[in-house]
Amino acid sequence: MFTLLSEDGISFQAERDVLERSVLLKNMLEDVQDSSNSIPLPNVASAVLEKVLHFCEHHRGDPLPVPEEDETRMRKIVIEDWDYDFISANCDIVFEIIMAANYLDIKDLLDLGCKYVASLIKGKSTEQIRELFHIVNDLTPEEEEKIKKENQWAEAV
Amino acid sequence: MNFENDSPSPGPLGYILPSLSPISSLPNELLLSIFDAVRFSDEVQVDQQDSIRCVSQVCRRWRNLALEPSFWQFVYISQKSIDLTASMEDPHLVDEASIFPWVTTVLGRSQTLPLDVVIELWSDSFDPVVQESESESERNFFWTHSHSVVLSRILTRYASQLYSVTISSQIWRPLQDIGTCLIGVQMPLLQEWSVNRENPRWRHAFCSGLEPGATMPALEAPRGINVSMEEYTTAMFPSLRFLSLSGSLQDWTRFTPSNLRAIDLKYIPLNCRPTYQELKALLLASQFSLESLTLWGAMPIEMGQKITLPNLHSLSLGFSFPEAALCLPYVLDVPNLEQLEIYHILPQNHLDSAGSQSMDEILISYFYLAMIHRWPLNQLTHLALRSPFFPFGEFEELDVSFREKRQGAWVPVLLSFFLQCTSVTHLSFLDPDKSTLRALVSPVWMNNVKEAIVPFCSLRLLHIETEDHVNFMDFLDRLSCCDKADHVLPRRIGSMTLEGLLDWGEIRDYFASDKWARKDLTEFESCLV
Repeated sequence: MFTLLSEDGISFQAERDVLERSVLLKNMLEDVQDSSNSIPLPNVASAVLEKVLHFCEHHRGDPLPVPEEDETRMRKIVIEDWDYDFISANCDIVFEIIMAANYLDIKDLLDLGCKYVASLIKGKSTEQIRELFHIVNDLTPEEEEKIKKENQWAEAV
Repeated sequence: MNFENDSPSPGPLGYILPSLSPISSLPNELLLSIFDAVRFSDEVQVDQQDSIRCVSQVCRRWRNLALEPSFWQFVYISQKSIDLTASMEDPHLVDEASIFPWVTTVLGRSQTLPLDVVIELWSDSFDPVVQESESESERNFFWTHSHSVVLSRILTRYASQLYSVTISSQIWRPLQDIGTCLIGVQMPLLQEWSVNRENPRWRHAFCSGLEPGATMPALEAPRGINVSMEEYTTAMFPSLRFLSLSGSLQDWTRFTPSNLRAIDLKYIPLNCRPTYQELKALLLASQFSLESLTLWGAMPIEMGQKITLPNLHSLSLGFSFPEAALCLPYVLDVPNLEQLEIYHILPQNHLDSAGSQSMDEILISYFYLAMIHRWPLNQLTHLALRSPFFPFGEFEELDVSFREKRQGAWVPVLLSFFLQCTSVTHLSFLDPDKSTLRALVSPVWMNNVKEAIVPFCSLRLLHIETEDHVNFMDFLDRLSCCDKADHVLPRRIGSMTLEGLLDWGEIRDYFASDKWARKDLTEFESCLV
């Protein structure tokens, strides 16, 4: 058992094969023989770390994504049922999960987060995307005019 | 941007993610990963590009990121891409951007990356039963020769980036115009070339209405060059691996690609099909690289010596004249075939005429017998039959011999064919006739075997598309009973998918009822069209 310490000082315990879903932790564990020292994760809050470990626990033993398939993996549209339930149940912290997955280098979780957000964007108009993510339109009137012209032909397609 | 401060009131979609942390807090690299996922969240490339376009217009930061060239490698062109208000006195001089504004914008964004180009031209008044030259569709089709010239100028400018090109048109003229303008244009990256004359099936037997010698000559060698056709094609299109022509005319004496991985020829008008010698040259030029071959209404009637394709794994044959298919098992030597599809493309009038149907039946029987004797059916893993038709009477006789526990005097040729396909795990029937479905559920007694056998003992997937409800329900009844009958070797079916105008409610009830005896088949899926 190894102990992880979140940025807000909460300890989490997990076994090696769970932690090794993270390339960062896998590399760290190779250097750490003694499991008595906790591993600090200054960039991950406890609420997020708990979810990340839940994901890794569920996928322990699964083959790790191979870097050669990085490009094709993103092209697979289908999200497994458990993964979809997991990420949609945690949609309020989906961006934190994405950042944690990126920091810890957990490729399948990073893909899942990105695909989930993409599924929210898909099929929505520009205005609907702004509303969904509360983004302020900071384009200048000139840029807006250019876009309007673009759309005249792009939308005809 | 601070989420709390910047968004005082949630919009109509705010309820979906009530307490989202700001997406803007993500670094560029992660936003780009999300945009990448947006791009691939749709299978249709046009929709992918539309999603990215919407993303690129959200705010300045998103725009700067989304204008990354890799998001703009797909270019879709239709007649709606034309600015009809722009004047075009001389198509060779006019500013291309004024005629195709969005197309040139997308191409500019791609910078120097490889491009997938799809051109789709259609006419709202297209009528496949009227002669093309007399049709309203051509008169109302506002894509002119000048538009083809301007588009060809654009394609020529980006020729070094073209990776895949698909050109589809209901009207023949633009295909020939664009093809003529592109003669002699080198495309060093081109992997996939696809030309489709939309809805060509109605006239695949002939091509009246087109002038003699009409072809889509883009990849053909210009007249008067001093190198062989193969050398020319290799020099101009060294990366070409996938060739697909549907309803399109090609001068095969001026185009000999080599090292192709897939050849797909469909609905070639009878007087423009490659001759045996041309087909042979085409196949032998890719003899060791060819993995997939599709010939639908594209085989020459006259055939010659055997052609061995040692690496061909997938073969799809469609014939409108059975005599064209008959020779193929003798001509094509396919020792490593794994996937086979047979498409019976017979015009309706053939079926209406008793005499010709009978002759067709005989020829088709010989074709299936030839496949049994010549092709390694026992190593097929995938088999698909499209619109098969076979005489039904023999199956009724087979039922009698099964009940009497004796070997029938004659096993229908289709069933014999099926019984040879001992390794098939994926079986697909599209628009099957009564005989084809019956063959699947007709146990037969064989000499020296204690149990009757049925074809396809271990299917992982059975896919059926049919609109014939009565025929299908009869099949289900027999499927339920025959494999469970005493003295019949068991057969396993992993899952079954159904498609067509079926009353799914009735079928679901059937599966739930006592009539349904099969316990192995646990997965059903229905796609109601």
